[in-house]
Amino acid sequence: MNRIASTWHEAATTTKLLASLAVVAVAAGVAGLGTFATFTSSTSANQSISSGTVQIGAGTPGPANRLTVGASDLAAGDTVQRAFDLSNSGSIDLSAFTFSASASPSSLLDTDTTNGLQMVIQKCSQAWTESGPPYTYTCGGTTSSVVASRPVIGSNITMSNVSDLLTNGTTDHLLLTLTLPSGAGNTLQNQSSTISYTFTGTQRAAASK
Amino acid sequence: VLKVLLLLGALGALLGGGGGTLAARLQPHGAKVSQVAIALGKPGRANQLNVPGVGLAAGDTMQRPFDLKNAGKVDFTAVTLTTTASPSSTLDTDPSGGLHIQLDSCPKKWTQVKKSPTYTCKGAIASVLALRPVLGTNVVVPGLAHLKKKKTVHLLMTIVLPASAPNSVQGQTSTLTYTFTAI
Repeated sequence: MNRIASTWHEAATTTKLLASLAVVAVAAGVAGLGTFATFTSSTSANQSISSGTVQIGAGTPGPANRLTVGASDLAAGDTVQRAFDLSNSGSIDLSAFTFSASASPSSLLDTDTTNGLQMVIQKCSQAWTESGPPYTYTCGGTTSSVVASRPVIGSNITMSNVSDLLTNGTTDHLLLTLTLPSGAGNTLQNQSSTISYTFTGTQRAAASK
Repeated sequence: VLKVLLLLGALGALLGGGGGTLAARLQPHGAKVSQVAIALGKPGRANQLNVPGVGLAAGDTMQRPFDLKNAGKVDFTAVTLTTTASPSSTLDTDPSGGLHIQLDSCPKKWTQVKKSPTYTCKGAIASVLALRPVLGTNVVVPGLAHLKKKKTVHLLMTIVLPASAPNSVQGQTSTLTYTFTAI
């Protein structure tokens, strides 16, 4: 008897629970409709944002860029001159300009820092006057030193007298001169290197716009 | 069991067949108690959000002050911000190297630093929304959660292009829409 009564009691409790759940469902439905229908307000604004560009480049291969022209059969004491333009064509000013050169394939021409190739970079206030090939150059304006004589291979080499290039929309006329020192020994004969020149511009310091 | 079935039947009639009636009944009641209204300041000194940012470089910031008012008759219980972009670009789609947004409030109007697009606060600055990627849907703005009725808060939106922004973010343009929703 007790067991049967207990079973009914449980059944009755279950019914009440269901009823309660149903009531909660009604309340939730009403609250949901009310909130969705009326209880919000929005306001908005539009804003256009654009980023600038850091863009530097060497001139198009040709008179504005002879860096791609190779040199062969160098003898001790020979020089190789190659003019090129360097431009800042981005929209963001720069804070620094650096230069790197690497070799692949490499040889004693670039690994011998004393008797291997040495480089100099100069700037002319106007386009270099070219003759040749083999190319030689004169400057009809004023010249200034950009990189003083040093072994050709190096990383992040500081470039002087190119501060005008930090402002976008400017072009400098540069001349790379490679020299195989007259002291180069026989070990440097019949060597071959391919050298990559990389110029890197770094954007100005961050600012509030 | 019979009681339950009857109750469910009544529910069905109420929510199914009578849904429109229920909504209509709620409208006057909702209109009476809600009056939730949020308003941005008028474009100009009280709202510089529409002032564009041009030529951003990595690490740059944009500061734009604006007022936000609880123009209704009840205190807010929550405020959310939804930011969308159209047109969109990597400026907004790159969540790490793209634009980030931050909101701060000042007890007084933000003061512009002379000849500079930066602002200072003559008071204690409070964080309203911590720095996060600019795009987001219904992002809860903790600092505005309980804005009292008729009260105006002086906000400063700071947009940051991270110093770590990759080159792919260069030369991009996005138009962002900021929507504040009060509940």
